[in-house]
Amino acid sequence: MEFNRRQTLLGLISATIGAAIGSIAGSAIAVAREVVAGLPGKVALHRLTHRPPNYETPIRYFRDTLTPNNAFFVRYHHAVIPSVSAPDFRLDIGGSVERPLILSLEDLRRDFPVVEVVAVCQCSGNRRGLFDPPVAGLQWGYGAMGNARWRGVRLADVLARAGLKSSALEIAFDAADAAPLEATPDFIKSLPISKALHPDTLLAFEMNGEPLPELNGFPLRLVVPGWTATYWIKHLNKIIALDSPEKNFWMSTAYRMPRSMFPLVSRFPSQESGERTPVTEIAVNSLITSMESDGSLIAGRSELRGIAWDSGLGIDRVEVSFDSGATWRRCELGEDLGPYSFRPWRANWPALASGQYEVWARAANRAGQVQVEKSIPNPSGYQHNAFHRVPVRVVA
Amino acid sequence: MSRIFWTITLLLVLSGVARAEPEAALGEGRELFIARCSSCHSVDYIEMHARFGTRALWESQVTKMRNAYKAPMSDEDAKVIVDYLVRQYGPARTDLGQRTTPSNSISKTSVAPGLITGGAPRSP
Ligand code: HEC
Repeated sequence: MEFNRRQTLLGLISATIGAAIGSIAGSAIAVAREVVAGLPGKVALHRLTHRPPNYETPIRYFRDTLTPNNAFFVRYHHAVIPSVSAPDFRLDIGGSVERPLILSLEDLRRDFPVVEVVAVCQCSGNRRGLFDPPVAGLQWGYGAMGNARWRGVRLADVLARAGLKSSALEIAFDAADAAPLEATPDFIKSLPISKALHPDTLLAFEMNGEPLPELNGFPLRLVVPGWTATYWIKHLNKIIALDSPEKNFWMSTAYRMPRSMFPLVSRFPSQESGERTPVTEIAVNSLITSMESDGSLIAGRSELRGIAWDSGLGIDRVEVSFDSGATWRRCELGEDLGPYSFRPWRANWPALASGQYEVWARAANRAGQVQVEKSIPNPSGYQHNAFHRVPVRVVA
Repeated sequence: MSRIFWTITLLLVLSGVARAEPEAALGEGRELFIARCSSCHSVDYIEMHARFGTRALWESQVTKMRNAYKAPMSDEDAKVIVDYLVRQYGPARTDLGQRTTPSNSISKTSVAPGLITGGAPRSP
């Protein structure tokens, strides 16, 4: 292996500051454990797990359309995290290609057109912790996602240089991270040729104008706009063109759901088996982002705004309801950074008599997909896109 | 990648994290649990399931660790560990269950004051 690998986990852990919130005394619910933790290069994020590190972004950072790099969520399956030196980095492209390639970062920047796309990177299991009944797996809240401007080269251009053979069915991606025990399945994912060759699918080396942060895949990651983050391989170092479906655990068993429950627009036919289909596209979704520090909104006083996103079909409308979905009011959509981006929205407050309210938000896309009142339970807790519901306080 | 590399890595991982990571709950079976369940990940993976940690849940998780991720252990070890998990990380441990409900989420009925993050925890 050409990588100059240093174990960064120690650094990671020693930089971890303990939960710093002791002062929630009096609150009905103790939350100290998961609130604050420091990671190198990151602001305080919600910690789910120490090792491997899994941290979600606090909702207030989604008030920016582009999620700041230092607040971008962190997700690892395996605890051995590489520290790759940029000059030593090599990307290996092989399998069913005419000309196997080994490329440095310099080669990528010099030999291929450099392009950009703004796209949401969202964990398939984002919001899993909100499923009722509960589902095993990382108990994410709303923050296992982020939106960034990714800069890199098209995977299609690199595969063209290598001369993809017509027999190729899938493209598989491997990375420099690894499991502590060799017997554990390495994290390898594949894409259908159609998605791999899509002009928006990138090998990205920059995020929001800076090199990728270490914990978001430095020096190179796959960017698969519209599809969930399980395909967005970090620390990417190997691309293999396959003539038959990739069969490892992370493709054949994990990241699957019942097909009949989720009519996907963007499918992965070579991986479908009977009723079970791989998670692919991001479900249409929205989030209210302007809560006060106690998590509620003050009628007439708080701003009423948020974001909406989908798999790139385009947000058609966002609506809010103050009467449990009986009536809906259309919101104003904000800046459009492209179909895969968060789309900001805002609304005016209606006149509300004093009392208890909840505001519900829902988005619909141009293909007619709409968020649901209750997320569809499924074995691994994917595609959670129930309306976002936030308590509203009316103050005299 | 050589065995030696991995062994060193593993030692680093284990020694480096000992201080900062949450510790396994006290109780019968703890030593075996630490030996069999902490080489690949920290104990918070277990804690976050405590609010719905029934015997069925823990049996299925231990089976998944063995079959899918190749966690090495005997059937006898697995039984002892499941018993430990049900006792220490079962729904009876409401303190843990509450502490590990998802953060960054908004409840439909309850809002806990004081959370500094713009999101409030969900009621258990
Ligand atoms: C050989 C490595 C290994 C060992 C040993 C191991 N696990 Fe895991 N465990 C994993 C991996 C890999 C994951 C998935 C991590 C991820 O996706 O973030 C995981 C995840 C989990 C989860 C979260 C649920 C899920 O499926 O993602 C639980 C709970 C868990 N492990 C419990 C245990 C228990 C209990 C033991 C001891 C009986 C154990 N683990 C031992 C590798 C291991």
